[in-house]
Amino acid sequence: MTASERRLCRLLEKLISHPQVLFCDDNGQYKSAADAAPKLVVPAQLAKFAIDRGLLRVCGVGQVEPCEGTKSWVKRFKCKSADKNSNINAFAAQHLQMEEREIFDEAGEMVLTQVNVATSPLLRLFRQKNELGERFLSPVEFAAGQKLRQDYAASAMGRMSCSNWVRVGLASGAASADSCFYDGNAGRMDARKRVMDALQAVGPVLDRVLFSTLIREQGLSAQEQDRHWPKSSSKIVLKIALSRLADHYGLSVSHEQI
Amino acid sequence: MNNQVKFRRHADEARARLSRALVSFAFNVEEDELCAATRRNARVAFGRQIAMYLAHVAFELSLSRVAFAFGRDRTTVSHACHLIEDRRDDPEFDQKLDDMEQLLRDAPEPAGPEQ
Repeated sequence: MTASERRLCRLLEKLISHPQVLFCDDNGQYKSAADAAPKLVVPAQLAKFAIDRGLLRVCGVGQVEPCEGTKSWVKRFKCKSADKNSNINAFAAQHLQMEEREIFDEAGEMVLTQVNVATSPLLRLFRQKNELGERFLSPVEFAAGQKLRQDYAASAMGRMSCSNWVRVGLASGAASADSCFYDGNAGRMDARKRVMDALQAVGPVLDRVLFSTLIREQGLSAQEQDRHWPKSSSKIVLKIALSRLADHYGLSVSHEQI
Repeated sequence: MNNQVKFRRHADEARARLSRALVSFAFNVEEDELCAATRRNARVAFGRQIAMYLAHVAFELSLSRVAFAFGRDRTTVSHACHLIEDRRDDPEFDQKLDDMEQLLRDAPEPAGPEQ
């Protein structure tokens, strides 16, 4: 990714937001018409690069305009340049909504990482802001919900377990301390216990809301219809459930201390 | 060195001077500092990077020609161009550079060296 490509990206972005025909001058540069705004100048080399790759369409003698390929190229390029270290293909990255989030790692510590926002129902809810820019869910409630989801995934309750190939090659009966770790059964049992404890701590009705929303990924409006609740009420119930879950995990206390 | 190359280098140096003068005007940096052989402070270095970038973009000079005109290495100019392009994500800064770029494009051709 060169500075020239960055420059072309910037110029094309302006061209997309203010569509106009560019005219070739004597030096091979493509310029805006005299009455057009903003005034754009695409140097000869960049213009040739763009026309060769289908980023600009020739629409007459010495005239070019943006086309369908322009917008998608700019989008892909911006995805690529936003995270240079990412190994995600630019074509895939344009369909993801990557954002930075704090999550719990295996050691139980909060770490900053890139996540695809479009995957989790809780993430979608967490992203929503009101007119004042305030989030409906607090970061602590969001973290509590994510922890429950992670525990559930780790507990393997949601999937059928097939053949376990992890122990293949190990001597039979070699039940060392490590084998327990490799087996993962203890970890799963712990995770399962954490999920059950959390749901129990939350309470009888709230645990169903949490389970439906976070684990079954059922929509909030569908839940309202099922339970004959008034519209938009399950959002509030979910918030209460999450705050109680955060209390159970001890997150809200640690947050206040900070 | 034949006359054509001599003329071209003279013109490039004149363009570099104009670019530095414009940065000095727009960003309140001493022009002497921009010409300095050493880096100086961050503000001056940033101003010099803008001047090099503008010379590259507005006058369509190659990186090597800009490097020669500013008495710097070609890779230094390349680094400056990358850096300034990244900074242009800021709309206010972008607009300012757009205006400066336009001003330099409208500048007349530099005169040849004295015979």
